[in-house]
Amino acid sequence: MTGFVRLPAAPGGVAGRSDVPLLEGDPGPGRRDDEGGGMAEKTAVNPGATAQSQGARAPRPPEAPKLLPHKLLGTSYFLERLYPGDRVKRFLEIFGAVLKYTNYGHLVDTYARVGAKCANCACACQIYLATKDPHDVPCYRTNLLLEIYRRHFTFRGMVQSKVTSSVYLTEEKISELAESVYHCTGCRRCSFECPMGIDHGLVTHLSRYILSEMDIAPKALVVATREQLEGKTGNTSAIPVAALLDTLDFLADDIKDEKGVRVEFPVDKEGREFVFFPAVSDYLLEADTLKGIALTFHAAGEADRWTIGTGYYDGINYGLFYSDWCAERIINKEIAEAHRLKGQKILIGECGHASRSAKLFVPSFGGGKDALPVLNIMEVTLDMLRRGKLKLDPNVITERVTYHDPCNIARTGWIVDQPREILRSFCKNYVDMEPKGEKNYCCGGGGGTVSVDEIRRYRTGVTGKLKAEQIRRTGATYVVAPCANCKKQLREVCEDHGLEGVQVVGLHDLLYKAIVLGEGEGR
Amino acid sequence: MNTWVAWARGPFLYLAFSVLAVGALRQWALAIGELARAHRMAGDQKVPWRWMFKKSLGWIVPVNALRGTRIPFTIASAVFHVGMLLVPLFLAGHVALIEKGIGIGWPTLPAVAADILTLAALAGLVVLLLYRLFERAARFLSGPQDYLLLVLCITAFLTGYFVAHPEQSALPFTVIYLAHLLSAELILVLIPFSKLAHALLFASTRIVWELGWHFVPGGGDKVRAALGKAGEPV
Repeated sequence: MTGFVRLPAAPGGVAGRSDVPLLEGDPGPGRRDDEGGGMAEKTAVNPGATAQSQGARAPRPPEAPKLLPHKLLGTSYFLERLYPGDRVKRFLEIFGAVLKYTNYGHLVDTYARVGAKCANCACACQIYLATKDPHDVPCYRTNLLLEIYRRHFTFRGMVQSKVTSSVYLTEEKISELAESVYHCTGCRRCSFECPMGIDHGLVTHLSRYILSEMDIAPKALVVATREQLEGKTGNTSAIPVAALLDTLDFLADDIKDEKGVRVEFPVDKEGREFVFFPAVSDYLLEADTLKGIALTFHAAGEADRWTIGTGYYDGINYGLFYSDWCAERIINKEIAEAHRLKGQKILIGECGHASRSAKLFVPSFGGGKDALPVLNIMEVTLDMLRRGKLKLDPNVITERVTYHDPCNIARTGWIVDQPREILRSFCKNYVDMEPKGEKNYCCGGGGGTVSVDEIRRYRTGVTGKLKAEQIRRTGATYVVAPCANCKKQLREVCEDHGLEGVQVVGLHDLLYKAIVLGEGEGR
Repeated sequence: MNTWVAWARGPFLYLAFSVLAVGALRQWALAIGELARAHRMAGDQKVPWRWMFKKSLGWIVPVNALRGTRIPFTIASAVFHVGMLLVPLFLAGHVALIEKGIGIGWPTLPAVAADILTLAALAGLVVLLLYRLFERAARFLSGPQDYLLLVLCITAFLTGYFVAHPEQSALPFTVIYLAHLLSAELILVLIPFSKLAHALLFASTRIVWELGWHFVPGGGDKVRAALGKAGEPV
């Protein structure tokens, strides 16, 4: 099992690369070898990843913690540290505590009973379709955890262990699980193909959660989450407030230059309808998306509906990928900021997992039906468009445009038609990918894997393979991907698959180009 | 041999049904209790019932699943399940047997329909077995239980067909009849204890899924406290 991700074994270079902070335009040691080189400065920075990776703007962490050799566990991603004691015992302790204090108990029990192993999920899984390795079948991955449950937490399993006087769980099985769950991008395409209603994505999430409690989680995710929850800047990209305000000024100047109109980014305004949380990395990497959003509000004459809060401004929630504990704390920060500003709704920017985690968890952790409503920016934009507040020039975007559905917002059918309606209203040459919407293929970087730079070859070569073929078939110039993670991943996919000339953009990047401003303003 | 048949038609049958009934009641009681508990503990108690029913019903008539390389699988599976539900419950011989035992009867299937359903279910089962044997992913996932249950179902249907048509059988009627009774009883007994439990829990798996995503406020802190990690940083 271990090593079926084909990665170059270069421990020295690899460890060095991760430990040396990257400066803009300066690829770290080993980077060129590992990642094929030639990465644009923009994509070299990891959206919302680590405090290290964003160059001059953020302070360097004092001393990067030493890496344990990742070969110890056989995972293809870096671990920060490893639980030093008896890992088998620890795993079972954690599993037991999770079963007791959360809602997973009955879920795992039901799934352990009903799983029919029909292998329907295999045909839905783009990873299995790419590798044809049965270890990648979602049901197999799910069963790694379910079998531990059957053997250690059910009466029958305990009798079996007594009779055969053997312990089922071993260090090797933990390693296999640790590797396997980060092969999955958590796109949940298979979940909807399971006749038994087994949500493989949720079981993968649970496995990751259990593993994370014994420090088995990709370093990139852990470091970013630590900065967000306990660091000085309080966000995953380690952007201090001063830098945020600078960036907003800079963006406003940009809009003035390009559109000839002064558009403010409202900051810390109380009592607004929306408190806005984009993936914080957008402030570094996706200037056009943010400019588009600001210009959209402005053009509709509704700039007084939204605000950005300086108390907390990060929509990213890696807790969705690997830790319920982190997810709750991150969501609570979001809710607290919205309440501080007396906002009525939480507005998430162009980001799939930020949207889904807020939509799911704000009611869960923020008081059920009294919780603040959560909207994705595209819902708001469509509403403005339908009310006739936006005038879009259909002659600006003449190239072929296609739309990539981010799994987190499309899989349940939440946001599928809205962006298409917006795009069709001003893009003459719009084509859809196939399959699309609720049955889309993942960009290949879901489930937080996009932030794990050391597995880039796996992400673009294996998980992103079908996506590359899909994009190629559309022949599109613009791939609209309203999600920070998808954007980074798709840019890397296009680069590694030689899809030159394809531009991966956000929805509001195109709106920014096409918006026609009212008389007497703009150009 | 006739004593065996008498046992299989009498005490064994009662036993099999009792095990099934007790097992089913236990599982349903557990499921309802646990779902209620999960719902109570969840921070968000709003459940999209309509969406869930739609998704569950979608699998009862799985036209949406007719895609790609698994179209034969889906059809075979659906046909087999229809036979598996209708024939045991509505075959005239079965209903007569039950009526004799507990005094309750219900309308029955015409013999021809039962024959067609039986043969179709058998064909379906063979297709499922072929998938398990020859499709890479399915073969890799399959353990002894997965094959044995298929063989058991095939046995029950095949012997059932020959019980209805003894003239086509090469084996003596009593042997066939006994094999049919025992295999069918074994299936009943295994339902609560094997993956056949999906027959009992199918209706709730999507509610389980939905509530699984309704996280428990403070759950993560409690887990960490139980592990002696309260207050530790990320």
